[in-house]
Amino acid sequence: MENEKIMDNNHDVVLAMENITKIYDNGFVANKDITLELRRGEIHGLVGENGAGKTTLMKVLFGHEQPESGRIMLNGKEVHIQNPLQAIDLGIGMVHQHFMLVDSLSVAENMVLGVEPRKSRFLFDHKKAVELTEQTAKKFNLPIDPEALIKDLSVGYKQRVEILKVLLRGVKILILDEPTAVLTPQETDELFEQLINLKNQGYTIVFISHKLQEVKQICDRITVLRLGQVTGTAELKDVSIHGISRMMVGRDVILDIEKKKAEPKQTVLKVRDLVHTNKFGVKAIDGISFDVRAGEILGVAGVEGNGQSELSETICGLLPIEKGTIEIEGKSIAGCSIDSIRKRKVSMVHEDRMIYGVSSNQSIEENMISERYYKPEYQKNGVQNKAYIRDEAKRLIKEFVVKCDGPEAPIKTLSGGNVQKVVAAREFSSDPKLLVVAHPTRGIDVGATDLIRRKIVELRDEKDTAVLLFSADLNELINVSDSIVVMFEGKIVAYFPDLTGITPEVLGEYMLGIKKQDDAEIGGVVHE
Amino acid sequence: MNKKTYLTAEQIEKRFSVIRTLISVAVALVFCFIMIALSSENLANDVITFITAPVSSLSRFTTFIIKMCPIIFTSCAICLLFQSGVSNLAVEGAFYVAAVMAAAVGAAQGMPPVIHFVIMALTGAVSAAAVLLIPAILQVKFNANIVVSSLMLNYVCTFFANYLVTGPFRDPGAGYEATYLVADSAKLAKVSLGGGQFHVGIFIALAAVALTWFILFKTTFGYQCRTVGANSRFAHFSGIKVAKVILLSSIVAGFLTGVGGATEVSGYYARLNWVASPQYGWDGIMVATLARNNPIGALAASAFLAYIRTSADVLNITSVVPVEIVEIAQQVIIVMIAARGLLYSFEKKAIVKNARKQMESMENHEEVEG
Repeated sequence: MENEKIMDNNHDVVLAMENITKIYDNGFVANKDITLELRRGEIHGLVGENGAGKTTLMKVLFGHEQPESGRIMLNGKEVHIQNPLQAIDLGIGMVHQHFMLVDSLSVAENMVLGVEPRKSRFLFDHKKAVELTEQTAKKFNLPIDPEALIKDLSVGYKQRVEILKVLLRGVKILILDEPTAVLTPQETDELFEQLINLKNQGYTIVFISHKLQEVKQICDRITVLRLGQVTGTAELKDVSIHGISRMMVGRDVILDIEKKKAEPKQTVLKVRDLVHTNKFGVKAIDGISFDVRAGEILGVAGVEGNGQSELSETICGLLPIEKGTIEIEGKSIAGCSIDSIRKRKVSMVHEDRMIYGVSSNQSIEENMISERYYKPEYQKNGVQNKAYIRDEAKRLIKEFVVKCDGPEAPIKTLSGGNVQKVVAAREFSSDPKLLVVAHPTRGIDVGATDLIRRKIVELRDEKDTAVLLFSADLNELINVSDSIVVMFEGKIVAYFPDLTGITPEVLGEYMLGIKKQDDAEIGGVVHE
Repeated sequence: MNKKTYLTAEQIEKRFSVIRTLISVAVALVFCFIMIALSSENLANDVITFITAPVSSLSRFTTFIIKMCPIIFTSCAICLLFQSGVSNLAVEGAFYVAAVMAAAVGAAQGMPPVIHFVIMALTGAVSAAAVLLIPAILQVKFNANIVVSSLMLNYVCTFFANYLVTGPFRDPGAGYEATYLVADSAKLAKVSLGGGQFHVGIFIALAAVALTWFILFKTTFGYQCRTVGANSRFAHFSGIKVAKVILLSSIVAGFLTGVGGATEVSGYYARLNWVASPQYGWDGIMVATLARNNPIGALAASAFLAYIRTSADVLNITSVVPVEIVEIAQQVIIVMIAARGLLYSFEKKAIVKNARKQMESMENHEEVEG
């Protein structure tokens, strides 16, 4: 194996991570002998399931973590990246999935955070900061208002600020971690334009993503990781999406699940004229009415922050009903505790799985019984039936293919996808009449995603469960749901009872408020 | 198949947890020895006394048993509370109040034996539960920080109990400030060993340990408590009534504390002469924390604390070494337990090494990871 080569088959290798091994504190081998080569002026996709090691590898590159062994070669010379400041000095910049911006400050102030221009020793040169922002925005053709406050910006613009931030600091290699996770289709297109623009100016971009369609669209080459190791590197023109997914999971993953047509029956969930005002006095939910029937999956589309969280939390009982009615099988849930709502055979998957879905320090089996521990099979006279709990846990671990050391293993030792599988195992296995599920496959691997989606459809078919599915993944919504409503600014602006011909672009227009159906069409979602 | 078993990261963590506890105890003991060395006039004798005092004679052994008793009760109460995430520190004041109430009931004449003690114990239990309920209710109803309100309540309890002892419950016939004599019918049986005697309250204490352990780890209520303590928002979202858990755990902890107070009065004292709190609540917190809120560990830690206190007492009599050395040692332990970073790099290296070995062996045997 040749070392220290700058030219590799006539390609200019700007960065090489060689034989990187990283083992975390809890013993998890995140990266095993990984070698990654980036060429100058390319968009390089880093693809893999959650737990495959992508984020860890980039953390090593960006100086957030130190590898156990291996080395990093920048322009042919070995470098040691001890912390993010050094990474930036070397020209490596990271645009994080969760923005590192200060909401109450302006764009210009955020841009110069850490490298503030000064008038004298102690005074902040605000004018210079604005100048620098405008210069950078102009140079890269990414227009932005330097005086705008971050909290007033849309997600797409916030991301633009993040990108400009690293460009301002003179980086030549940009790492983008799941950049399109929070963007609408239109914003994604804009982002891709910007990335190609940067690429043509000689910048190197690492594009970390789960979304194979996008990877195929924008990347020049990809490296695929599986279980901490590289399973393949390829030019995009040489592989198909199925080829990539096979490298990712070692088997052919059917990306579109096959499901029969829905046969909806009686109404299970009835929501009428629901209103919720948040703590800022804004109507997060502004008069919503819809029905979900047994044996039907109703998807809710919308850019995050348009009332979906408040809606799912109100139905689950986390938020009180301010105005309007919610009925489950004809009985109102006003004033009901979460406990009594669950007893009506409602299962709930919250979007924040680490806070509401599991307790990290407890074991898998303890997490699996948190809503059913009082039932007769699980206890007698207040004494827990440990044997039954253990057996049930083992059964569910097998059914949901949870990769773990056993039912006693604490949740914190599991990867994101397996944690979500534990949540799904618990919530799906109680034969629910209504399943409220929010962002079930966010940030988890393809294998777990596939399984959870299948299980949702299984519930619909075998148990006649009414499913209310909230998701930011439009392909997931279109693929898994039977019908979709779109939320915008707290109202339903569209209802699609039939999803043939519905694409993410179509949904996007309603999600952004560009289009709105008339009341008759929207009213179709009320079946009683 | 010749497969070497590897530890899970969790098991390594548990081992290091034990090592940390042992090191905390060891460092505290080292402090004791240093202080003995500084103040002693006869080092060899004093060190031997310190190490062996509680087991050097049956009489001293009974002292050890008696000292252990109240701490076991309060530490079990704290174990239950802390496992539930309820930092209700009013156990300190509750113990004092419960003891005084129990003493008052204990002074009643003409009661049948055994039943009299049971009534004392119930009185203590109810009193302590009432005390512990106050910060719990304030937290549940008004979101008042339970740490702050329980700490303040301790002062209220202390002054209230003091008032009772020096006022309404005071026996004018006694030569000093104390309650009426505890009636014989209320006294716990005593066991004589050598020149001393201990009371059977120790067996009640052991029962309390077993009961607390059973509640915490075998019952659905204990499961609710531990889940609320682990992640209260998750517990709430799963349908567990968090407010109920906070209140109930305070009540049960109150029962444990109050029975402990009654036992202490009935077993050890002819009359209750405390004009200040005996500080068993704080001891309980230290012991429970050392035992990581496990009741069985709390039993061992209580024994340890009682042991070195007995040694210090004996040393005080037989030498010039002051009794405060143990109090200093206690504080050292608290600091060391709080230092979770202790040995962190060693623990991490051990976990990484273990994972590496697993990785390499899998390569050698070409095992496929499932």
